[in-house]
Amino acid sequence: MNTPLEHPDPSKLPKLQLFYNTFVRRNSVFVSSIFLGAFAFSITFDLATTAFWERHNRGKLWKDIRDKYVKTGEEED
Amino acid sequence: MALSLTRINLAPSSRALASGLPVSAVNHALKGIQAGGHGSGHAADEHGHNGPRKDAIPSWVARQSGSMHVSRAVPRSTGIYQPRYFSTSARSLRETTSIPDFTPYLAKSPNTNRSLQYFMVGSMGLLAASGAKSTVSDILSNMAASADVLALAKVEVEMSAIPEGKNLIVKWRGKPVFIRHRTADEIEEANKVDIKTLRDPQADDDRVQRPEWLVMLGVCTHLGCVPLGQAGDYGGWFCPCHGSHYDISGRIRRGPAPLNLEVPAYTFNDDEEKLVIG
Repeated sequence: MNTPLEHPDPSKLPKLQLFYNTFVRRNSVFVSSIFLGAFAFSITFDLATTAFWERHNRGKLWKDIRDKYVKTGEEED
Repeated sequence: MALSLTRINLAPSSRALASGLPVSAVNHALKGIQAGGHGSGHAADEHGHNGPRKDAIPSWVARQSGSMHVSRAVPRSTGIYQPRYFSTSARSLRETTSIPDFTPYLAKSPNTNRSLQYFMVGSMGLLAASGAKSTVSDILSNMAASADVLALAKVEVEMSAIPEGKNLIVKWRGKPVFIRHRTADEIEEANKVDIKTLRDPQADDDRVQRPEWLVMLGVCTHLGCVPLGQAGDYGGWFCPCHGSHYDISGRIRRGPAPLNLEVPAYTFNDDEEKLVIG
């Protein structure tokens, strides 16, 4: 039923076959790597979009113009 | 004998019999006549062997009279070739479609397709799980307190406004909060206490983030009075209601109160030299 997973020459394995042997052979590995990947993906996606947003709005954000309005060491209240 | 020849031209039809007579599903008139005068021709003899052959020229076509009169039914030709409707001719056996060669597109090995399918399934699952997680966390954060409510729930205190050895009482969420800028002697005194002898054993380090700043809720743990500062037998706080004595770290030392004074959540904002309670 199953096609043999062992390749005659492991160094010439295609990348997809390497992916299959690494992640898909065990369902537990497959599912947990999907969840871990989702976690990592959401963090990277968040960081990337935030970085893009701040680069796109550089000079308009509060952290950029804070020095104009808040003098450190000065009584405000 | 005079011979007169009459030709009857029949309308071309889609199909011609072997005898040349056109046949058509709607050619009822001809059918009825051919059936041998039995009427409409819908009877069983249409399929049976009674009556004349349908493909034979009927007898009325050629009738004889005093002067010989011959009529012939001549079907009009429908074309050069008779149409053929069965795949029996060599022409229809000829190949009409050429199937391209798909072998260059075939997968080299069945494992490639399987790996690709699992890869796509995994990628879709990854994106779906990420989206589901974001949806859930967004819904939950929607139910949490908003930023303006949280901002109102905080109190900022200028740290430079409290000299060493002085108390400040601020109101935070309807309750008094004691802030004491402790001296080095007081810190040493608070650390000297053997916590095993205490009613509510707690080290001074566990109650403060920075030893010089002591932040506590000013509510006596007995019945909720507000203790007085710099009073009592232990140099800390004293509750006038029922006589609970708290030491310089806010720990209960004597009296009816069961617990030490509670420590709220607070942070230091060093950039603006502020103490943020909440």
